[in-house]
Amino acid sequence: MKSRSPLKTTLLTLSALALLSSALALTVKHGRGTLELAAPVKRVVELEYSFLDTLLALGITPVGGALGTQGGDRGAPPYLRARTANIPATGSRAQPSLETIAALRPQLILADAFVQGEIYPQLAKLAPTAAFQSRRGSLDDLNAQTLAIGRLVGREAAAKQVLADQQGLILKARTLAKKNAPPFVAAVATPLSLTVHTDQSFVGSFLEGLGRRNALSPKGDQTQYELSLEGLVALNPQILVLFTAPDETPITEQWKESPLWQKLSAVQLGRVYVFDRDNWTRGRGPLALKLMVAQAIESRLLVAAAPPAAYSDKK
Amino acid sequence: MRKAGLPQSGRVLIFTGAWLLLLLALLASLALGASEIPLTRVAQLLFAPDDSTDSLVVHALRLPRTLVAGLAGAALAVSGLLLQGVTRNPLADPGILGVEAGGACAILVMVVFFPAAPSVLFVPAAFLGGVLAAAAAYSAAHSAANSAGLTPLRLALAGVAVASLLGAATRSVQILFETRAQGALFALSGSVAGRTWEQLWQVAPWLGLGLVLALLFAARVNVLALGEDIASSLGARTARDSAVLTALGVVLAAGSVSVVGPIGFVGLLVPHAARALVGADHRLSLPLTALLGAAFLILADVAARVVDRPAETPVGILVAAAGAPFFVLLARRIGRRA
Amino acid sequence: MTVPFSPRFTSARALLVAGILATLTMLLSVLALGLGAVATPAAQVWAALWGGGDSLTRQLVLELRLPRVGVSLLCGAMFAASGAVMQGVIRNPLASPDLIGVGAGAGLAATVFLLAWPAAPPGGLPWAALAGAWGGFGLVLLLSRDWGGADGLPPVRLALVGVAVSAALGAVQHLVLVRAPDGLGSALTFLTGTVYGADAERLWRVLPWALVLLPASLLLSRTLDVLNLGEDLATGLGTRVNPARLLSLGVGVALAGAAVTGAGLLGFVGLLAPHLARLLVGAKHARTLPVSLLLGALLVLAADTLGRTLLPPLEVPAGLLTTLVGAPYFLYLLRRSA
Repeated sequence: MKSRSPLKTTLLTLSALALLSSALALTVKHGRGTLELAAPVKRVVELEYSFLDTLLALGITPVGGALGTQGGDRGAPPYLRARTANIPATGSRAQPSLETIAALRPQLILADAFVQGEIYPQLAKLAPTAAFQSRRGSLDDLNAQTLAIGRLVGREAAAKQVLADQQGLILKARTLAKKNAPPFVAAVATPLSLTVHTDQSFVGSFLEGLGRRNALSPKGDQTQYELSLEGLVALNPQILVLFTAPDETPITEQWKESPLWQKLSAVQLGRVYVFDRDNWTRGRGPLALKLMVAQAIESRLLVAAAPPAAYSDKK
Repeated sequence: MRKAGLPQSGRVLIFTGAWLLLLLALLASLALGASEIPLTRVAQLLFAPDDSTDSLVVHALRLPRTLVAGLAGAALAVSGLLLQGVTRNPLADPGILGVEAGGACAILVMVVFFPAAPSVLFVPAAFLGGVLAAAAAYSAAHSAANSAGLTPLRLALAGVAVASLLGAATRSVQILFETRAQGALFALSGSVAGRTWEQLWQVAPWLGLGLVLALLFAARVNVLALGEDIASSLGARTARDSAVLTALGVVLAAGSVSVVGPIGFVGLLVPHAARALVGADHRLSLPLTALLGAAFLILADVAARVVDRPAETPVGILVAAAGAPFFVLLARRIGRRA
Repeated sequence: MTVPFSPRFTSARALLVAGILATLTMLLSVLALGLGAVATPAAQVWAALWGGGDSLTRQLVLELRLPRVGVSLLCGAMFAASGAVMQGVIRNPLASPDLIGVGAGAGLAATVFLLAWPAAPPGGLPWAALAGAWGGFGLVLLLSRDWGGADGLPPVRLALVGVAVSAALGAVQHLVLVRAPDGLGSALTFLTGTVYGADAERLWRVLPWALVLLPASLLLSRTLDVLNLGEDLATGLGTRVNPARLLSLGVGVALAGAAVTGAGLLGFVGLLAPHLARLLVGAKHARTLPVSLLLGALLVLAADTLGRTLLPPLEVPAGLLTTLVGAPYFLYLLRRSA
């Protein structure tokens, strides 16, 4: 038998090595391309609250974050605030400070693919950067991001566990949900406007995932839109879910003085549920979702029963 | 002078038409919206309210909203006419003077820095912001060097500068206070959605009194519009009159901005249309401007309601989209004359 | 209308002023390299500049701060040159790139670009803004031309139509923004005019434009002097007025457009710098232009350095600071000018 040429053997070994290394290397697809890491990393800077939530859920404390508490941005949502005290701030989410990030010597930067899309190349120069669709992502997108982030920081098993727990929790909640309950209208109420969130928005789709029906679907490509009291009266939902902030006087307080508000079926039936809008719309990570499922149950929204005082719109 | 003498019958016809248009706008505004109510039912409910949802919609929502739109439309249009007459400047418009940007900026500052403040306070805040902005633009355009310096170009440039300054201030607030400002974006574009009886009563005295005074002073605007030299020779106390009428114009505009937000170009579009119809005599063009302004804004608001039901489109944007090309046209014409 | 050709403005004085400004710019550049959100000792910065120092300081100084200083200087100079050229052509001391559709066009184009193509590759935004800047200017030019008339491009109308077109484009941008989902506002911070995130690539992108256009603007100084004499005199001196105006305006817009791709719309730099230059060295363009360039560069660098160090790690966009200073100065100028 003729022995193999040494060249061929070398080539074979090389390609085997290449295969092995590509199997070992971490490859993650994100909104701006594909990120490859030689090994999982620990020093992470995050530029959006959903990433902060995800990292904390996986047991990693970021070395820096766009916490934006300077200058009066609403800052981290209340449920995260206690855990962000020791995380150095790297400026606002709109314009993170590149210098501060560089000085933190991160091994990974987690950015929003849209909001920080323009400065992605600059971020990528400071450290390997993954840009995910967080602000415009659906629940499925965000779950996929949890898994991807888990792989990047070497907590893939933990990420899978978190997602499995979350799925289990949601399924359990679904069994509690009252079948054939009337559809709900969910809306964020600020001092000046009421914005309804349709079944394609993040919170809207989340509540549908819990087994309840959203009364609204997107108008064109708008998954959220403004509604006046007249529009709300025309919809006349039997269940109304409001998201407000404790430091604001929402516009619904003003509407309550109108006799039409009293005519809303949801008001007459006592089915107006109130949640913290920062916790529900700005966290969007595994910790937030756990809290949201718990509150959806605790508020009795799932069983379409009258809410306890903590979640009621009556002060 | 354009059309100096219109025959009596022509005037009657035009004013009857304007009243009919206003009536039509009122009825449409009461009948159309997120839900449609037949006209016969509207008429019945208007005089005999009952407990039904339709009745409440008409009385608690659409009636105040319609009246606010009508009042604000009339006030903005008359404000434009007064300012144009006094300054003899066809580009004088509350929007171009920066009144609206000032009011909007003040509202944003309120939302961001005093999130707990009741929305009742937005009215005086916008009022203050509007008056300050107009004063800045007007005094900058009114050259210190010569008294006849209020050319269309100067006024437009001063307005642009004030608007940029306020825009920069607004953007600073938005960037530094990113998330809090989100909720204010809608309010920055002018809308009459959800205006209540209380809000109507807050501004009605100002605007109503302002409109009545403007009607009484219409003859003086005619004198001032002749130019200061001729006006003085006719025995008018020009300085005092023009100060009073300018103040009246700014109060009318700021009052409407404080309740409906920035709605540009009504003060530019409507007076020009009214003058084209009945000529430059302010005793005729002023009441016609008020009627057409009211009808115009009410109809624009109806369009804003039904264009994307049940979502609301800010009416200010619709008006701006309709008015801005007219502004370009006007600028072209004035630029040729200058 | 401009500062007279007074004997106290000599060439020697111009040289002295230019020398002082150049020195100041150098000093501020060195200072800017040492200042930022992260403290860097002077010795380390010095070492980093000569290839030494620790790796973090090298990264901060060479990769983040150096390109930023470079882009500030170039874009400031280009906006200043653009303003000087436009003020020369339009013969109005208040003309500037902000006012002839460049800024509004860039803003609208960038907004539409982001909305229509959210997954666009990074770096596409400045090109959209560039296209919009030219589009806005083209619209202004088209609308202010007097088709068939003898006088092709009346300056007053150009300025007025510029204001009007800016308002119209702004209204459309607002319409798009209000209906847009969350996050678009943040993505548009670029438009406020900021050198934030400038890297070596951006520097290389802007540099060729600057190397061609800045000398070109200096070559125009005689033409601008002649145009400044007024149409009749210029024609008498053998200049074909309209082609000369178009060429100069083209250079002015190209300068502003290129600067927009580097730093967004740095408000009022194009207005402020030429005015200060005229105060310092008189109205002759051969002296005003170079001094304007230096002043513009200095102004933007100072604004950016201040913005970076005011509230670290928060960034205050340089364009906001220049507008907050420039707009009141504009109003002051307007008030004083006859």
